[in-house]
Order: sequence, then structure tokens, then C-alpha cells
Amino acid sequence: MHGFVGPNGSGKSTTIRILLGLLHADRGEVMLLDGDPWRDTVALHRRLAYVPGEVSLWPQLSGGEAIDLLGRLRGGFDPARKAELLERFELDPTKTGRSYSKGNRQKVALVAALACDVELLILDEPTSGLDPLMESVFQQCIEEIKAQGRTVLLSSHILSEVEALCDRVSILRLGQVVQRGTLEELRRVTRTHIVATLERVPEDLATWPGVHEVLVHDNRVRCDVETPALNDMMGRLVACGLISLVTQPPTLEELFLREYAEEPA
Amino acid sequence: MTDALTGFWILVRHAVRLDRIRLIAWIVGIAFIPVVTYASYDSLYPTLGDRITLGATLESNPAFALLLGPASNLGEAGGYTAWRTVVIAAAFLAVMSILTVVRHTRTDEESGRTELLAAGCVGRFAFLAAGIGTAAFVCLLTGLAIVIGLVASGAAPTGAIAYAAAVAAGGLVFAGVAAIAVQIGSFGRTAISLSVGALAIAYLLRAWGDASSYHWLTWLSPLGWTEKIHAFSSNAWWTLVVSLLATIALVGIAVVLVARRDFGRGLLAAHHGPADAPASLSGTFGLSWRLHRGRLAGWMLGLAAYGAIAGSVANSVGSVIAHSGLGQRFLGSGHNFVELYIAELINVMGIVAAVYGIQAVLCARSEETDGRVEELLSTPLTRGRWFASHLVFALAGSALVVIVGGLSTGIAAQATGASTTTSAVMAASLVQIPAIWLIVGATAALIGVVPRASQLGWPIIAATFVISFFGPLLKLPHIVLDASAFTHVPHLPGGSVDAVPLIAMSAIAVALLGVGMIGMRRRSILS
Repeated sequence: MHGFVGPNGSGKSTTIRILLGLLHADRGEVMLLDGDPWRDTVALHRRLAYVPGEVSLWPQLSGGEAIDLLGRLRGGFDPARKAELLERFELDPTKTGRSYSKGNRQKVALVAALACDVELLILDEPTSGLDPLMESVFQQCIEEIKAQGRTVLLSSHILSEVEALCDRVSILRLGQVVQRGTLEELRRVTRTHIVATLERVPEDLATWPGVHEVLVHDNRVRCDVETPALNDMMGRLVACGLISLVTQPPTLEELFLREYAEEPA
Repeated sequence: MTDALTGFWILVRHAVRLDRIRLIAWIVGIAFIPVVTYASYDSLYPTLGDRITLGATLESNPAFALLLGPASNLGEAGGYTAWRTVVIAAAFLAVMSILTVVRHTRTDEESGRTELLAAGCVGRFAFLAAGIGTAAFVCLLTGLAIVIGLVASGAAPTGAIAYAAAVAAGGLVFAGVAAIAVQIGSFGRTAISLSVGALAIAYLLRAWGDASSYHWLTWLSPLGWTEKIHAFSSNAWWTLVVSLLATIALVGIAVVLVARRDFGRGLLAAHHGPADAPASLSGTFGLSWRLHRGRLAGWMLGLAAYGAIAGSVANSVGSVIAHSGLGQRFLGSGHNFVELYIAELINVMGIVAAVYGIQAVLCARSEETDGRVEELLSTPLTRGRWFASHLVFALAGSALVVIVGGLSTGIAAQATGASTTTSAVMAASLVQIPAIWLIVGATAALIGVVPRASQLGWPIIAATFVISFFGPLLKLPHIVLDASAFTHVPHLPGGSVDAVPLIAMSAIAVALLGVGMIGMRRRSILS
């Protein structure tokens, strides 16, 4: 389960289109499931299913027909699985293409992709039109797929979703991957937010290694601490007479904000 | 009511600005038709004798009445221009009105742009009014352009104004038709189909009324009203009142309907479909069949109806065989006038079939621009197969359209005793196919190689139409005439068949299709 994070226009969808062999890469090498997406398109596409970010359906076809068509093109699917997914996503398959709302169009594409038994799911912002209830249904479905040992590439700008679902994350900025790793590895380069009340506030707090954004108000201290400096920091705080302590684990949000706050190179 | 129209002028200005290039193209293109026809009259019929022959041959001839409307006052450039062009110019302007009204009402509503604006300070009827207003504004400008062009060519101002007013009024009525259609259909496409269907029926009613003894039928058709003004002869101004009253009534109905429907919905509710796909919808060809079948059936039905009416009057053309000298000038070489008439008719059907072909092949491009092709091509479907599934319908469909048109014409002509046979007319429609496919191939090549320019298929077919319809009349140089694929189609029935141009056009068509296919497989998908 790989998360692919970045704000609008950072190149997430373009990368996915290249991975699908829809776009020809200007330069660089692309590998997908040990194949070249441009040359081995058909062989690779037998093994994957894709949900685009902006789902567009055929006005002449009902949602159910579109699901069946895409499923049959992918080499068949289990009708029982389709019925189950339709029920879970509360989707009416008899409406025609244009009368679906954005969220329901997305559900049609999701059901079509999830109904297929493929190795790899490529999902481009799959929940951008879904309500919170449907988002949790979606997360359940993805958990089940993960449990079956299948691979998911999830592109999103909703960090909580990526944090909840993904094992590994790549962060994109202006078409470049700026961070990549497991969620654990990424947390290592992130900072823990600390609010502490101390008996006496050390004067040189701001110069301690790995400590940033220090704010002192009476004997209350707020600061961000780099993960490797955390142990050292705790010892020093105890020495200052720790009265109360609140720590917040690092979120991708912060990492994200920091990556984007910096001026593009 | 003024509140309901708040924002009208802002919306009209916005629409005119947005569409300025395409609207100017419509105005210039439509004004070109009468002005050039008028200007060429003197060189085509220089002597009084020519003009008397022209009048004697064509006035009271039902075949020409069917194609263009009843002829009168052909001894003058003005009368000749009015007869030859008023219905065509009004029909083109009607198409402009339909597309403009639908674009600025239903299509915008569908895409959500209207919602963005409706949240602002815009009245309830302002969108509809702005769509109609923009179309009316272009009708007015087209009328002005025609008057200026005709008067500059030496036409009598009264006649020129009557002619231009008739054309503009024809365009206006169809703005009203489209205003109703956008309330009925939930989607822009449905509204366009409904309005264009109404235009086709108007043309057929007029054709039938003019060519048969049921003259009253012409009065049922807004296109019929445009000829009843008899510009450059009696200038019956009161017929404009008919058009204006009809427009007001149509717009009135549309306003009532606006009040009765919800935003984003049409009176024709978007219907439900089956929950599961039939077995036939299992691949890209099954999908193409679903996407193309409705349009293909519409075109086939239209040409079958036109062929039945046009074929049934072919016999009456025989009465003017004596004037075949004139016929030759009009239609090219041939042996008898019935055959010349049918050859001309089938030629027009060939061009119409090519219009269908372009539409069908551009369907592939709109699948791409609307983003639907991404979902398809992320499955084990190859691009070549996907593109081929649309090309098949463009090629086989366009051939089918011209064959059905020919068959219907031939049967009607033979049944009413015209001196031709169904098989001869069928042969005439079969020889159109290489030229049709050449144009389909050119559009396919554009889609494959320069997708952003694929809409150039439309100017190509428009130029082809002008060259075929007006080229020989205008004595255009050979190099221009030869640029149209349909110039190289053998004149059947009656003429001789030279296989070389047919084989050459087929070869070029195949080559262009190949270029399109290779381009499609090599390029990136561009939405």
C-alpha cells in the first residue's frame, strides 16, 4: 500500500497516466510490475485496475452497464462481488451516466475497479467526491484488499487518508519526489510537538540540539523536537523539574507543510 | 419581470466575447452564399435569351422546387439569388441559432458553469434570455452583412432587405425552437438533437409542399416562410410577422417551461437503465455500437425520408428535357435531365453522409477529451482496437447512410415512373463511398497526428459543400474544384465511370486511415 501525496498540480495524476501508458514520458525510465508501461501496456493492464480522479461516464450507459463493461474489458469479474460492493457503497446502478453526481460517478468507477481480482489497484484521489460515511466504507474495502496481499497505489492530497491506509509514502512537489519511505521512516524526519510546564525555564532552551520553534510563556514551554533529539531532550526537561507534559506525534500534515513552506528550488 | 432578467446584458456580452471567432465565421460564411450567387449571375447568364430559357426551364419545375424552393423572377439576379439561396442561408443560420442557444443555456447548466453565475446577481430567466439574445444578435448582424453585401453588388435595397430579413427571421424562429428544446432535454446533446430534428422536419415539409400539389405544407415550415416573402419580386413583408409571432410564441412556451422545471433537470427526465449490461456490451465494439447506433439511425431515417420525397418527383423533371443545354450548364454533362437531377441529389447525399462520418470519427476524440477513454485504456484494451471500433462506425455507417438514401430515392423514382432504375441510383450512391471515406480518413489522420486540430474536419466538409454546390456555378478555377473529393466522383446515373479516381481516392483514404491509426498508437492521450 503506497501513498502518493502532493498538492494540486504537483504531478500526481501525470505520473499515474505515465504509469498507465496513457502519456509518453519525455525522459526518465518507468517500470511498473517489472514492465514498461508504454511497451507492455496490455500485459500490464491485465494485472491492474484504475480509478481516475475525475470520473466521466457514458451518457448512453447506466452505471451498472459501465461497471459490467469495464469489468468485462478487464477480463471478467464476480457478479456477487459487484452486488456486494453496490450495496456497501449504496449506489443505484440503474441511473444513466450524466445523472450521477460527482461522488456517485466516483463510486461507479470504484465498484468497477474493486470488483476485479487484480494484483494492483491504482487510485487517483478516489475519495474526493465521497462523503465521510462512504470514505470509511472505502477505507474498509482497501483494508480488505491489503489483507489479501494485493498492492494499492493511492494518490491523495488528504493526508489523514494516506496516514490511515498507507505503509509507504512518496511526497511530490513540482513533479519531483521530495520524500519517500515508510510512514515510520518519514516520522523519523518529522518533529514531535511538545508543551511542557517546568519549575524553571532554561535560558538556553532555543540552542538545545534539535529543538525548534520555541515559545515561552511564564513557565510554559512550547517547542518542536526532532525525533533523534527526543531522548536527550526529555532528560534535560526532567532536570528542569517537569510539572506537566503534552506531546503530539508527528503528522504527515506537518511534514507536508514544511516541504511546501520551503521555496521551490 | 425586470428582476428575472437581471444580468441579461452581462451574460450576452460574455457569450458574444466567448464566441466571437465562431460567430464571425458564421456571419461571414452565411452572407457569402447570397452575395456570391448574386455577383455571379451576370457572367452565368449574360444574355436575355439565357435568362428567358432559365426562367422557362426552372419556374414550375417541381424537382428544383423540392431542392431549393419554387423559382420565380429568374430573369433578374435578385430573383435568382432569392430562389437559389434563401432556404439554404436560413437553414445555416438556424443551425447557428440552435448551437448558440444550447451552448449558452443547457450545456453551461450541465457543466456547472451556470451554477457559478446563478449564485451571483442573475435573474431567473436571464440565462435563457441571454442565449436567445445572443442568437438574435447574430441573426441581426448576419442580416446586416447580407444587405451590405448585396447592395454593394448592385442589388435593389428593398429586395436585399426583404431577403436578409427573411433569412434572419428564419434563424430567429429556430432560436425559439432551441429555447424549448433545452427545457425538454436534460442534456445539451439531447437539446441539439431535438432542435436539428425539428429543422430537418421543417426542410422536408417545405420540400414536400413546394414539389407536390399540397402547397399548404410549405406554410407549416418556418423555412417555407422565408421563401414566401418573395424577395426581389413581391417583397411580401407581412410574412415576417408570421416568423416573429412564431418566435414570440415559442419563447413564451419556453419561459413557461423554465418556471416548471428544476435547475439541472429537463422535462424529459433522465431515464433509468438496466442494472446489468447485456451480453453484447462486452468490449469496445459493443460500446461503440451503443454510442453510435442512435445517431446512425437518425441520419439513415433522415436521408431515407429525403430520398423518398426527392425520388418521387424525379419523373416531373422529364418535362424539361428540351432544355438540356441549360441543364448541362447547371449540373455538368449527362444524357437526360432525370439522371442529372438524381446525380446532383445523390452527390448532396454523399456530402451529408460524409458529415455523419466526420461526426462519428470525432466521437472518438470526444471520448478522449471527456476523459472516458482513460478508464477504457487502463484495461487490457489496445489503442488500435479502441480507435478501430469508432472508425468502423464512421466508415461503414457513412456508407450505409448514402446507400439507404440512394435506395430510397431509387425506389421512389422507379415507382413513380421516372426514366431510371433503382439499381442505377444505387450505383450512383456506391461511387460516392471513396470520396466520403477520403474525408473520414482525413479527420482520422487529424485525430491521430494533431488531435487538437481534429475539429478541422468541419471546415473541410463545409468547403467541400461550397465547392460542389456553388463551384461550377461560380466558374471556380479547376484547381479549386479539384480540391474537393466529390469533384472526382463519376456522374452517375448517366455519366461514365472512370475507375482511376475511385481507386486513387480509396488508396488515399486507406493511407490517411493508416496515418491516423499509427498516430493514435504513438501519441499521448490528451484530454
